[in-house]
Amino acid sequence: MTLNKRYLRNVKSNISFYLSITLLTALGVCLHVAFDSSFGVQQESFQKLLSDSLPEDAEIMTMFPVDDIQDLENEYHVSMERQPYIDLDMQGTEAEVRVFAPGEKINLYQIQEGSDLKNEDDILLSGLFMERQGLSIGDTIELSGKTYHICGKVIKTDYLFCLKNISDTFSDGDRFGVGVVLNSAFSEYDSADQAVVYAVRYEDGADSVAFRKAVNEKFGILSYVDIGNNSRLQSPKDQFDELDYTVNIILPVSMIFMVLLIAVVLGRKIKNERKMIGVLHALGYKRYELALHYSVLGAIPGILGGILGILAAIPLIGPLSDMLIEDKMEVFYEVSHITPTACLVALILPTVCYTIAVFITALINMRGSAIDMIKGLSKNKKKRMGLRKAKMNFRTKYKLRAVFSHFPRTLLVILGIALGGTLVAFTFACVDSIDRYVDTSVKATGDYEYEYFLSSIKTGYPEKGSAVIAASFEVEDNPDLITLMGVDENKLIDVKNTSGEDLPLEEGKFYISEMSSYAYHVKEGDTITIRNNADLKEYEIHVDGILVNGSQSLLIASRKTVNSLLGMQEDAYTMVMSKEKIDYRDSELLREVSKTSLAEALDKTISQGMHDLLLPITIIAMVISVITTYLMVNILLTESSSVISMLKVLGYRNKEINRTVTYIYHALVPIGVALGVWFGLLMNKLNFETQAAKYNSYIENYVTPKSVIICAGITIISYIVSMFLLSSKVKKVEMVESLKNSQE
Amino acid sequence: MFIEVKNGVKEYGSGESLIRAMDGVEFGTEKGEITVILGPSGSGKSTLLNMLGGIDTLDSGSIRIGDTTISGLGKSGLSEYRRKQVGFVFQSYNLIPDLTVRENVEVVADISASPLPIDDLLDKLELTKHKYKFPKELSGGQQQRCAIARALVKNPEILLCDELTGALDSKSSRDVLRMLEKVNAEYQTTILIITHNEGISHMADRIIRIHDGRIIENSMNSNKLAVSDLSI
Ligand SMILES: Nc1ncnc2c1ncn2[C@@H]1O[C@H](COP(=O)(O)OP(=O)(O)OP(=O)(O)O)[C@@H](O)[C@H]1O
Ligand SMILES: [Mg+2]
Repeated sequence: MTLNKRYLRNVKSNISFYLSITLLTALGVCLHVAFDSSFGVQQESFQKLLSDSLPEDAEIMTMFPVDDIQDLENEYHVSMERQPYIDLDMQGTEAEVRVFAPGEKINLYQIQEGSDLKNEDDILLSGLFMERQGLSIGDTIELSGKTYHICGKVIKTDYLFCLKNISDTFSDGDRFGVGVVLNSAFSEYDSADQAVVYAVRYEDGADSVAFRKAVNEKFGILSYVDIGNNSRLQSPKDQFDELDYTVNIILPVSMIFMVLLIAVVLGRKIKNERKMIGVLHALGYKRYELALHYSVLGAIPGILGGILGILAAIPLIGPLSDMLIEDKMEVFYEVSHITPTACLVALILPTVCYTIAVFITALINMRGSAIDMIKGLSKNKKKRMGLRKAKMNFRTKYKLRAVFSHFPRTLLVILGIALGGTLVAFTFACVDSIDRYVDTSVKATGDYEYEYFLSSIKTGYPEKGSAVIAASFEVEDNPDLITLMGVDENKLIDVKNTSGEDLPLEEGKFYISEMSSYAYHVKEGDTITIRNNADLKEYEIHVDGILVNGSQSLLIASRKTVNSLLGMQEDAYTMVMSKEKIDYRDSELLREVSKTSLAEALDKTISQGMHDLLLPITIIAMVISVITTYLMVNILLTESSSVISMLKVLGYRNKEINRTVTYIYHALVPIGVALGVWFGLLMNKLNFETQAAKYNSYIENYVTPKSVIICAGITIISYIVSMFLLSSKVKKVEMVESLKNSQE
Repeated sequence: MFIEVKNGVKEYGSGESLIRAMDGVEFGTEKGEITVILGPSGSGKSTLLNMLGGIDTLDSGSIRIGDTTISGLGKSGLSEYRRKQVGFVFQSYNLIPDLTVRENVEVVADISASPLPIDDLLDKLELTKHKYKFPKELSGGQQQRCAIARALVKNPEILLCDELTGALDSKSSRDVLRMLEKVNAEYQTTILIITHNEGISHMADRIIRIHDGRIIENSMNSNKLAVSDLSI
């Protein structure tokens, strides 16, 4: 059909426009497909790992060995398994390996690489540990005098994030790893050297509290760790949740937004074909026939963009998988492959949207009479902005009218400018908010620098530092733990309410931190029931005030008050806070936490990932920004081609034409910047709101002036770049061509 | 001769669809003359005019206007030439829709060294009443007069009109042509007019006929008529 030549001509003469659309589509598709593929496969394998491994719901340590597991299981609908382990020294290093026997019901190990245990001297080791120790499958390792042969890499869900103690913040592959040996090999170790934990899985309808009470009565619970408080598994789970949010919500939404924006732009472009459509219509082509034919103009960039995007995504999947998963945890993952659903969406969504947009625009444009279309009259007469007699330069008036009388176009341009800014602002605001949160949350806790957790209860006053009695509790049926702290009047811990006034540490008075009051819906004057998470003993606490602290789950009172509540000696303490370092013997301490390392850990778990993303996102945002602005202003140039051509005929230089016609949107840049920053902040706020549960705290939306300036800078630079790219478009407008068929 | 075209050749297309729009055109007019160009459709009239106006370029041959050989100029040279010396009026008025009548004229006044006073010019073209209107609010004849005002405001040496009355009725055509007559008398502007209307040729000093890209007649008009006496 001769009509086909029209597309070719149309595409050819607007090549940069269609190219930009294709590229932008490809970019959106590429991001979506690459992330969805690399992450989707990992997420699937993570889910599979969880369902294959049967991870524990809780881990219990008891005073006495639990000898009637079978009866407990039957009575309380739980599954329970004794899981002993032994910590062995690795010869010639400072490292330790925690060796397990294979479980049968809970926390089943999975082989990531290599082969299963066969011989007495076979051992499976965790991957990160092997990597740090420079070990590979087939090597031997000497553990406390016995030589093992490494037959493979193991993954245990109860040590996914490989922490020696649950309260540790870092996984230290240089010093700690886990291993699994055959039962027969494990049984050779002296049971006196072994530690025993009981792993529990609750079946549907199991009464966990009744079960715990029973266990405590008979065997005395020393510690009970709900899986939600066990970062060995929870931390990787959270990481997956966070990625899930980015990959399955933010990226698809961005892609859809981009596709819709392009669809609108395409429609707008086709509107310029009104006259041609009118002529063809007058010549007897049917409406639907014409609309369908024009749809091809939408379908081509849609399909091409989709295919290009998918092709570009393929090489990214591998590295992206590594980046997303590898350095975060020891999850075995299948080599990522492209996911068919993502490809299908990538191919169909843009193509369908663009085609429909063009089809509808073409149809709408055929509503008027053919004559009107040929003359280029639109049905709804636009009102032009007045200023007829205003004493202004005609250029100014032209710009004002172009901006205000063509408002939909102007709106598109603003959106185009704002789009990149939104992405950048979102990322920067996210980083800023987290940084500030890390900063203030650590500061808000007080002036101390070190926390020493003692291995035994002491009484009186320590030589250095300030004594604290601390214990963890569950709040009613919530497995998240709250810390009950008894402190002495001191300068290290701030006990202030939200308006900055001191809260008196009087006897019998308890204060709850802001964060917990928010989490447990507790107000001043309320009573809260807390439960010792080992012996399940319950205490009623009357809340006398709210403590300014948005980052810790905390109940605070005087040391005497807490000790008398817990039935301990009045001046007992289990922890020492100090500004200076105190030299304790190793045996005196359970652990030592420095605030700086805490801040670092917080920073690492929540803000490092975002920091890493800053540069790539900024670059992507700039590319998106440049292309969208280019597209939007390209529309302007298409719609002004007869003006441009006329100005050329009149002897205007290209520079002058650009100044009059192309550069009319400079004044919109600040609006675009403001809108972009605003959208970005809004997105960030939404992000933190939806994720408050995950971070276990509400992170306040915050952005530094520096970041705002960077956002503005990036938006402006992108704008300048697209203006530069557009400046040569004016050169290409033919004088003769547009004189022949231009008449408004 | 003020305008001189020597052996002008212009071809469009290639192979079977090759068209010689100008096939060895030899042509000249004196300064201040009104020249009317006649010829059947597709004979190459617009092509010739576009060459003279520096909108398009010759394949071979040369064009001299006054002291400048414009066929030797590059893109920006031609742009400067158009800017300084040429006024255009087309059948389709090509006014800028977002600008009022007066502003459309300002567009050109703004880039010329010594523009004519705009309001006087609009007055002469009987547009004072309409100067704050947008092109869409005007009749075809009024729009064309605005286009003429725009072409004249820089006081060009040459005014090129391609079927400027093509879309107008005879009353409006006459109005428009009267303006050209006035301008020619007042500023000695060299005017070239393309038309299909034989009647218009009577206002010319010189009549040129084109056929198939060749000039087949170039003669002085011995009984020149005033526009008011034309039968169009
Ligand atoms: N840009 C172009 N590309 C290809 N062919 C062209 C182009 N411009 C003109 N022609 C051809 O050159 C020839 C002369 O065209 P031109 O426009 O000069 O004719 P004209 O005498 O002005 O006709 P009309 O009276 O219909 O306006 C025609 O055959 C036309 O098809
Ligand atoms: Mg013509």
